[in-house]
Amino acid sequence: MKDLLQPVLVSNWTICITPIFLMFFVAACWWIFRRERASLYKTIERMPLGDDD
Amino acid sequence: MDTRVERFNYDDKVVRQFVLVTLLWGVVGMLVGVIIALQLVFPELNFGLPWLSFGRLRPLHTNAVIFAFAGNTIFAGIYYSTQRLLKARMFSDFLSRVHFWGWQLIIVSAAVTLVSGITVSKEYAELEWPIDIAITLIWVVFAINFFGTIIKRREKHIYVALWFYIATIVTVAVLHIFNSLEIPVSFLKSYSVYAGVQDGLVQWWYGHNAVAFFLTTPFLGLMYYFMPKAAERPVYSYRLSIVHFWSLVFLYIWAGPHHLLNTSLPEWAQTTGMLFSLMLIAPSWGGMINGLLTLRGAWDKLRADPILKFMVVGITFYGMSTFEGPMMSVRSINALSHYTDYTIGHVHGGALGWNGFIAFGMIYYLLPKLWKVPVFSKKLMMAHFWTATIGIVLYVTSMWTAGITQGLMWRAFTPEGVLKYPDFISTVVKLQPFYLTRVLGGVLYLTGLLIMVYNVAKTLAASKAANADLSDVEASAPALVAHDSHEHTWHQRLEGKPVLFTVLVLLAILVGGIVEIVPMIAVASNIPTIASVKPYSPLELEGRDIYIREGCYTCHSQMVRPFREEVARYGEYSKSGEFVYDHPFQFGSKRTGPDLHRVGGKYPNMWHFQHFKAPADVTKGSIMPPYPWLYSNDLGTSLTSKKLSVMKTLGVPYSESEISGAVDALNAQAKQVADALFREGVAHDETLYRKEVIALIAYIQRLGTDIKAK
Repeated sequence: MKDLLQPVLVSNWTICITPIFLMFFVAACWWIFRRERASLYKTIERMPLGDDD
Repeated sequence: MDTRVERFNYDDKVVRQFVLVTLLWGVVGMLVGVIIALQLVFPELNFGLPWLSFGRLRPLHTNAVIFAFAGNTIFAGIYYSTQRLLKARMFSDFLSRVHFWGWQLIIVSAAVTLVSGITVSKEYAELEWPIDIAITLIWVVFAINFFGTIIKRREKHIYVALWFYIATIVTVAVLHIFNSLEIPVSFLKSYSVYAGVQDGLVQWWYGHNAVAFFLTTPFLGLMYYFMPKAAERPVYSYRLSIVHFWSLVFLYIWAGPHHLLNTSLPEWAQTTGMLFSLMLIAPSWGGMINGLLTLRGAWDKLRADPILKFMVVGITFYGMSTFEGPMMSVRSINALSHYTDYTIGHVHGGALGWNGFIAFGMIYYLLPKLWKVPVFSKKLMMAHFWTATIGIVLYVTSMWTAGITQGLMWRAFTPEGVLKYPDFISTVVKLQPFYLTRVLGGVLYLTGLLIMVYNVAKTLAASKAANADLSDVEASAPALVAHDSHEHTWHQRLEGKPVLFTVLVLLAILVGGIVEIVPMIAVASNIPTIASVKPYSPLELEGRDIYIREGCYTCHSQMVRPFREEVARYGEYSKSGEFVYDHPFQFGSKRTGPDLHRVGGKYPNMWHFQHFKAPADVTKGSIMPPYPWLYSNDLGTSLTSKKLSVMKTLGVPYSESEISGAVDALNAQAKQVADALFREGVAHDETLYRKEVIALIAYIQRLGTDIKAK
């Protein structure tokens, strides 16, 4: 695998770092779009609509 | 539990003031933009006058549109939304007035000094040190007023718009202070404490984050408030706003080195900047999605509502720019686009599309709220929208085309292996139709703004005629309670602790700067020493200051990149060690004219003597302005010794005898340059050696001569 990636490798870092960031991204998307406590978040999202104007 | 309802009112007078000056400075800044665009097509519009020359007007344009137009937009929106989101009047009416008038005074002083040639030459940070101090003081006033309002708030949890305002205030302060570190020579002249590639890195850490934290984060805050208000719908996702905010403020700071790709900045710094710029697509588009999907289920409103049109198209341009920017940060793409008009197209897509349209949408939304009458004409709002949109499209597409044309022409080789376009002027001539199209685009955009000004004037007149009650808006809200029985998310608990929140924001934005800048300063091997590189002579230093004064860096770079086509065109590529005495650096970011780093010795003194006087006579088709005042102005030498002394303080190895004998050495070298000109055919003139043009020629002839390629 390392030989296959050799032309684009800078160091062993690059083997790890892309999948790590991909995992972060997937985890963030899961957390953003999950349905738990949706009603609580709706209250927060409506804050500007609750002011005096 | 104390739940008494408190009555208070909002200060909208300061909001009205900021709205009106936004329009004023918008017209001024964009008019100057149209003028300089015209100067690139008709260089005679420089009129041979120093205060109208392109090099001095271009920074006037950028400062006016960024700090005057966008700046006052931000303050108007922040003052309006902050009071309502926190259910509290601004902390101090006095500080509001000081902030307003102080900022306008800064703008006026910037305008006067920049056209006078009083400049540090660092982009979007050109202002000299007394104005830098004034900016710091007024920013502190703004910060006290803003955070004071948070402390006296009646709403416990701070909404996402306020997170972005906090990030703006904190980060702009850090950026401004560290990038503006200068040692004064006089009240109106100073030198950057940084030099060469270090100065370049600090400058573009600042410069890109001026974009990030002055033109992006506050406008995102405005989007998070005014988009839901205009759409009458809540923002799409609170959780997305959390991820958006923290990832954006953390990642943005690292992106600065993408302005220095393929230069003599160390490789590791370039790669870091590139990678973080690419990662920035995610939070940027997260924000775009959050803004656009606020309209989910209500897209039909877009058809008839010009305010929503402005906001939605503005957010779309934001998405476009934040995809384009990371693409341009890829080293191989940047190799083509850097120094070209493609960068100008990119900037104006963001500035005209995102900043301009959010500003216009917000102001149109605020008009009835602030002046108590409907906007005079919805048709004029629509006309403004379409005129401006067409203007942006013409501007951006012409600059994209010009940029790609430039980049491809610069790197073109014949089958025999020589440059296909060896004369730089051939690329300048090729671009004229695109420059003319850009003028048309800019004129249309300015016309749209003038339509808006007319619409606003008629609205204000109607308000006056109706004797509208413009007294402070009354409001009421329960007093703040320390604890309540409601369920809170972990982030809401953090929002209830604004001091902790602010500290965390500060830590998030400091990391990138520390990681990138500290090694550049502390690790000597990042800038290899070149023994043959010597400090500028007194005459050359004075000539350099004239180069800075006239804004030559706005059209000429001093950085030959390590590409075959650049080495073929300009000579040996630039090494970081050659710039160690350049306080400030003069890498430039645009090549309207050729790179100058290896121009020393390329042409005889006579060529430069004739060229500065009438560039188009020497190079047919040149759009460079003439500089006749360099031949009549005597070179001031009263500060020469002081300049060398300040440079020595900054680490440039001038000896005490060189400092004390600076003027004598200057005059001796100036006479040599003048004598050489007489031998080359210039009419004998006893006073010629004292003129500014001699100093500038001496500086230009020094460029790039410290090393000799083998």
